[in-house]
Amino acid sequence: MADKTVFIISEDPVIRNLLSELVEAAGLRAETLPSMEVWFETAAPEFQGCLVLDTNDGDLVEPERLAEFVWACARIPVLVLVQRGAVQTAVHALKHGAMDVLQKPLQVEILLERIKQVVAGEGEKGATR
Amino acid sequence: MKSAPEQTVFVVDDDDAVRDSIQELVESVGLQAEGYASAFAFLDSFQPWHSGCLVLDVRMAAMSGLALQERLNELGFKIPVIVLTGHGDVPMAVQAMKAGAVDFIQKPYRDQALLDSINAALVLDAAVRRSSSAAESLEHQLATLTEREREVLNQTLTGSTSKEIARELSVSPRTVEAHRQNLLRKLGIATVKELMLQLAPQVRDR
Repeated sequence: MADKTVFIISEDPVIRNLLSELVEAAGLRAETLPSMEVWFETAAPEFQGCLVLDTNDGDLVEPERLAEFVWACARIPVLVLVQRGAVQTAVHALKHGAMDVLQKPLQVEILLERIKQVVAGEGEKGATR
Repeated sequence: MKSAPEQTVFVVDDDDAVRDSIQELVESVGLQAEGYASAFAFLDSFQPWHSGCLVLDVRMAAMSGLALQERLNELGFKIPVIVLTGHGDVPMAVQAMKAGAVDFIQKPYRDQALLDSINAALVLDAAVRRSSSAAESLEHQLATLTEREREVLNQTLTGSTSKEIARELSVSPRTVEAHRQNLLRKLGIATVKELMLQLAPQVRDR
């Protein structure tokens, strides 16, 4: 089986580093990227694992971002991090295929638990009907 | 009206003013609406064959919108639910969406945003009902197969040839072919290829 990687996407270098340290401390491989675009350019087609996407409020409402996001969700499970109170972004993310949405400030335990579940293929889909 | 003639938008909100205004909005675009002042009143009158969608307020006395949503899931009712809330937060939105809501809208809402969401829910409901009635009628036809036809069907779906099936069941390939013709006729399917296309995904799901 190919190695599983947790891809961490955030515009904020502090969050990228923090999350990648956490993920690696939990024994998983982490890779950090500044945007989904870069992920599309660099990630190999056979990659496995999950994608943790940090969003700013309103990010997923922009059509281009949303299209990228939907495409990403089709290829790999995506966990979305939203700012406190970003209800619209959370709903948008779940409607368009996110596995789960977690609100910042993050509870590290919960985040790691969800990442492990998703990487192990046990994540229940966010918006099953 | 969209997709099906008898679709109804069920509005469940204990605030009379909000309920009335949503009903008026829905009716203003030619859709049928029914209002309920509580989750219980809705549950009392709703039947699973009622098609349409549900617009549900989160915060209500006695039974909350999210509790009603759970109850509908327990009952196996598949009507699409749009959750409305005055004081939404991210965990509440995530809970509602994971419980199967098709949308989660905060008040004050824009009329057009709510109508767009309602239209999408009605289209979804019509599609779900069409596919589940197709699945039911196929289920019914499958029940008319004899045990032998069923065996031949299952092996055909796994990709076995007539010869292989014949060997497996200790009969002649011609008998297998006869069973195949019979089961195709009973299922109303013309060719083995079509059979594979229609049934293979279903069998895999089981």
